[in-house]
Amino acid sequence: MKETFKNIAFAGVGEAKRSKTATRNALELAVEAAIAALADAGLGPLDIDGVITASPAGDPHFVFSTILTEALGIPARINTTLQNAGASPCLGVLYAARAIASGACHTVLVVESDSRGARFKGDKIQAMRAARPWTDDFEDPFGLTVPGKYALIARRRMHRFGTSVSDLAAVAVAAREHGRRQPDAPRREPLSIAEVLASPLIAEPLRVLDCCPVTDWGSAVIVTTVERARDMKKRLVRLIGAGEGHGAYHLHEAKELPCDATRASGEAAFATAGVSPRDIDVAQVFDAFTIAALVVMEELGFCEPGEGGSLFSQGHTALGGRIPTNTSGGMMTWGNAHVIVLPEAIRQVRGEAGVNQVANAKLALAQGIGGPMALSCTLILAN
Amino acid sequence: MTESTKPVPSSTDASGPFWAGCAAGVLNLRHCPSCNISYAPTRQLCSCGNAQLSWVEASGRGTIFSYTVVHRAPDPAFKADLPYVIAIVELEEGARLLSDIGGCPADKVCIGMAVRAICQEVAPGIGVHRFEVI
Repeated sequence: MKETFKNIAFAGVGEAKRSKTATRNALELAVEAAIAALADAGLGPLDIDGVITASPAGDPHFVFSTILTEALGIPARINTTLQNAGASPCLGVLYAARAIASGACHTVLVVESDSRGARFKGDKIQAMRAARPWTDDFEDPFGLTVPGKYALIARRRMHRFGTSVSDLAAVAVAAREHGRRQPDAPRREPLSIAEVLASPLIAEPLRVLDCCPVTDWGSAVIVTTVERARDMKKRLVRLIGAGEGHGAYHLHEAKELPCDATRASGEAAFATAGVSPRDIDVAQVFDAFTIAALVVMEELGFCEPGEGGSLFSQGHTALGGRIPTNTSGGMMTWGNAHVIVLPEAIRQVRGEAGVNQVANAKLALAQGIGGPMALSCTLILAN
Repeated sequence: MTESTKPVPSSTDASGPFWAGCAAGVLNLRHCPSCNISYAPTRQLCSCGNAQLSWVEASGRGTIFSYTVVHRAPDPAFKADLPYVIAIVELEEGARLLSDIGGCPADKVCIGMAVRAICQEVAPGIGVHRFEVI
């Protein structure tokens, strides 16, 4: 079984304006992002015939994609909401590509938005737990947290490959370097490994600065056929490879931590694209926690297991490095907008990435994780 | 304002025997007799297709597979316990379980440490599995 993505392209990309003062619910954030993406493509709502959204934690609602479709007046032929947490945006693109390839529809709006910043005040861990509509009998009675899950993965990685807390901190430092150069950066000052290691503990070995901030966000991309994308406003960006990987949700059920989901998603994406990690010019990977980005880079094959720390600390992920990574500053800079990987990957291969443009970027990788690295989706984009 | 309490497992038809066992001080695992494989209670179907897994009492002995020391609680009910250790324990039977760990200072816990189960009743007829360092 080998999939191909010969005829799939990105037509538009848009984001809701970042604001700490605006009061927008998840639907409004999705609408704002979608309208921006339509404008970027030069399309109207009647040009879209598919909608895929991600389920927002801040404003949980049944049939979220149907409400968005209604708000935008889109005549949808396919329309669904993914519940795959941080993997939803990349998976949304993959499922859109499959729907287009099968002939079910021709142009799909993929949106992820959330109102976590507005909804979750005070202690974010407690606020998000209180808002979660289910109890997990095998985790919650013991006081496990989401950072705690990534901490269990981190401790295992440290045990197996000698990953250190300084290696984790290097991921946050590298993210700040990219983030602080952006015109609207939330933090201008550089970050040091010592500062990360001096920040308060959350779940050992993870500290406050190993975790992304909690924010509102909304981003949208439009996926269509190459033929249609050629007629649109912006430089053609093709989806040339994609893959997903899946493992156990409960960490006690995974054979190893993390499970093989990320590795499998990468192998499938590289195989479908017919390229290898060394061909990739720029990578955008899930970095809600430092350990996540470090492990993803190792699992995708950008370095050997145990070398992720030096990949980040030695400048290999910086602009001009071997594999510039999370060039927007990522979730570590902008908050838990899982979708952030998509607009940045598209802009890099369009040559629209501004101050952090990677020179002559032809191939970009975008990756997302859902659950505690239980599922992963990797995409490869080309100009 | 009601005082926050720690979540108690909901005893359902499928998982009930596990929690009832814990309440009685017995740690049970699901077991496929034909494959001789023990599973955590989250697993409900053997790879061979056998859905009639039996409950078999585990030794309760295991080692720490991974762990974290939690410094920020998910719920006010856990605040008094901070910092506390959560670990994935690999039991002698091969199955793993997640729980909190006692019997050892948090800064002394490490991967590979031997632990034993100490099941505790947390509500009438419902217990949870906990572990302590031997």
